[in-house]
Amino acid sequence: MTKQEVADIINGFLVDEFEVDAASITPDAPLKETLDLDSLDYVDLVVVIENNFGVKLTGDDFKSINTFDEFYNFIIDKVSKK
Amino acid sequence: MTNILNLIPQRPPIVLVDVVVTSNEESTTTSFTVPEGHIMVENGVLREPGLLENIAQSAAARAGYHLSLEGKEPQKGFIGDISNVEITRLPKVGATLNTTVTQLQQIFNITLVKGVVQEGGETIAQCEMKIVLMEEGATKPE
Repeated sequence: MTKQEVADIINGFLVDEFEVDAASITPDAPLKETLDLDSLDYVDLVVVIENNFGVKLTGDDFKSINTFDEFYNFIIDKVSKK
Repeated sequence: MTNILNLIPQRPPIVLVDVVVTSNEESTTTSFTVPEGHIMVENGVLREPGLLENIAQSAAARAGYHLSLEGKEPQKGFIGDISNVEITRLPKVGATLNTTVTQLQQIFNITLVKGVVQEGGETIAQCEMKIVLMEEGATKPE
C-alpha cells in the first residue's frame, strides 16, 4: 500500500464520517487542531482505522503524532509490522 | 461470591445487576432478575432505560471485577455515547437477564463495549456504548 493510497483512505473517512473540511487536510497541517475531535470521537477514529487497516491504535500513539503526514507514516509503519 | 456492590459504584434503588457470572479478557456476563417495584419497572416490565442501564452496569461490573483482582476500588464512570440500539422486547418482573458486555476498544479513559441482553437464550436488547471512566479525584472528564 502506497503512502498516497493510505492518505486517500484516511482523508476519505475523515471527510465523510468525521465531517472534516477536505481543504484543511494538508500534509503539514496539525492533526489534532484540524480534526478538533473530542475524546469520544477518538474512539470512533480508532475503530475506523482498525476496520480499514487492521491495526489498533492507542491513546499514546496519538501523543507522538503532530501532522497529517506523520499520521500517514505512522499507519504505514503499523501496517508494515502486522 | 463477591457482593455486586463491591464491584459497581451504583447504589440502590438503581442497581440493575445481581452477580457477575463469568469474566475474561474480552467479555463479562452478568445476571439480573427483574424485581417487582424496581424504580425502572413500569406496568410489570423493565423499561428501555433499565435495559440500557443494565448494560452500563454490566460494563461497570466488568471494570470493577478486574480492578478488584488488583485490590483496587471500583471507579466511577458515565455513559458517553450509545449507538446501534435494538430492543425487541421488554422483560417482565421475575425474568432473569443474562447480559454480556464485550470490550471492542479502549483508548484514553474510554471503553467501547457491545452489550447484549438475553432472556432464556433470546436476545432482547443490544447496543454499543462508550463508557467514560473518571480519573481518581476528577470531577468531570477532560
